[in-house]
Amino acid sequence: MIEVTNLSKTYNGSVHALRGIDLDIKNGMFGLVGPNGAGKTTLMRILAGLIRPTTGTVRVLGHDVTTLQGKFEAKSILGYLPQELGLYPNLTGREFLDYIAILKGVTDKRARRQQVEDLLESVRLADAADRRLKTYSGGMKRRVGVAQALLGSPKLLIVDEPTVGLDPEERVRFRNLLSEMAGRCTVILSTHIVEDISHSCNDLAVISQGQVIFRGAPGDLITEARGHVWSITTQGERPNGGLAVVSTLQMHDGVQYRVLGTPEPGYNAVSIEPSLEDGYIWLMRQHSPAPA
Amino acid sequence: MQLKLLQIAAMIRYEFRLHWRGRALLVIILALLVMNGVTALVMSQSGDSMPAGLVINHSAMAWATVGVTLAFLLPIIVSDTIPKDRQLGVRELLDTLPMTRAVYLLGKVLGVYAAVLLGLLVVMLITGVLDLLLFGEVNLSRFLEIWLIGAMAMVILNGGLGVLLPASQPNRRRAVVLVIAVLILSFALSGTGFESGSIDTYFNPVRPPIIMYYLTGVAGTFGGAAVSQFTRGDVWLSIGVGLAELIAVGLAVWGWSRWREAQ
Repeated sequence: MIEVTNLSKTYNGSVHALRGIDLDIKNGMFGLVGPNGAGKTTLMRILAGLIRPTTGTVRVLGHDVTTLQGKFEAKSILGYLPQELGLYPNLTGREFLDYIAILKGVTDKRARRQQVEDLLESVRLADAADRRLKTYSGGMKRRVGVAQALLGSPKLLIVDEPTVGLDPEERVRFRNLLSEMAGRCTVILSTHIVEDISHSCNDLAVISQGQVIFRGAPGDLITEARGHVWSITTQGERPNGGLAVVSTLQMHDGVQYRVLGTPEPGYNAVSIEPSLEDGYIWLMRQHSPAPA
Repeated sequence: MQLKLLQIAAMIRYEFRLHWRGRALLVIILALLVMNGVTALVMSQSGDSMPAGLVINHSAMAWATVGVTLAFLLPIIVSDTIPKDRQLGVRELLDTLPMTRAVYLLGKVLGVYAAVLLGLLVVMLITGVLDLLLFGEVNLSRFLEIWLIGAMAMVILNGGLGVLLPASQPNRRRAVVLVIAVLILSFALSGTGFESGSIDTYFNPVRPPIIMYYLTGVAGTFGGAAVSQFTRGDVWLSIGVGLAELIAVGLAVWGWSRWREAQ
């Protein structure tokens, strides 16, 4: 479906956003996770044909998106939700979706109307569809963005940080929507929210400093942290000794910490089952530069 | 090809709505209506003191406001048509759609034409009805020539250049500043007057031959008060040069955007 070979992107000759990335992405839901500034958005923008890589090739359904013709062909099968979506404030939600649908090539009027109505319903905007976009809240605008990305039944759906600005209920709904889409096309979900990945992706890559540092199933990432996750309860003092504190919970008899690493024996640490978030943080710790 | 035509049609339809739902175009059209209405009322009250050819003189008066507005204000109010997409963040989304740069530029320009021409049509009809009611007659051929050749040419040339010239600008403010700078420069380079037969007169984006011919030429012919140095031939030459300018700028912008896309 998508083949990324030796992909690099350097801005202004010195900022290396991507460094020799190789990826082979099949149908289904693919998660791309990494910290802010890791290069996720740059990779998404290259896949969407918005920017050219410095070196390497990207083939989407056989179309080389580093060429003008290939890029145009790939765009006809693409749904894209950018990290920062812009909308026309003076159009209504329905008008905006209709406009984008035509530009995407949904030319049959009846089919277009039906698709717009269905998507408005899916993202729960049917009641506000005839209001101008400038009156929408941040979450509503995000949902318009989600709906426009799904227009035209794309074969490749690229969503960059899609759940930012959505409330918990909307996030769950959106994840389910993406999972349904993944049955019919390839969905690439870029996020720094590990929870989004854990609930919807069966294949993921972790990217850091422009390089892929992990590729596999969520279960494999969890396995990376097995034996390194502990629960420590103290009277308030924060555990030290190079431990990474994942969460802090105030209890009636002290403070319970969830930590990663190898605690000293005096802490009476209890080994616990890792989550995907633990696996991710453990991996990032392994690949972060050692302190001087 | 069919998809491209549908995309252009959709852009015209929605650009039309976007321009009319913004304030600038609405204010300009309302201002033209008010100015034309007031001048018509004032001139009709002057009665016997006005020379023969009163109707045409009011047409020239109406043209003075419309022509100057189209020459100077229209390029400014449409200058943000393309930079606004970038400023709003819509451009990134549009760039991921299967739409060529040529379709995008054409859709933007034609959308502006549709929005402005509809506004001018309203101004033209109301001005015509006012002239008929207040002065009792309208010289239809002259009236139509002023509006359908003079005004339409100004919209197509200056509206198109107003959209295309600042197309590379990243935001609305810089687009407006660029267009104002070009207009000031054009006016400054034209010197103290506009001369028939002078090359820079025809290249000037203020379109002196069109403005002056309909302002003094038409009124002069019928009112006997003033004679323009410009002829109808000058008007057509100015339109031809303007179209060449428009095509050249359009091709340059298209080439630039293709080059940017390939980078």
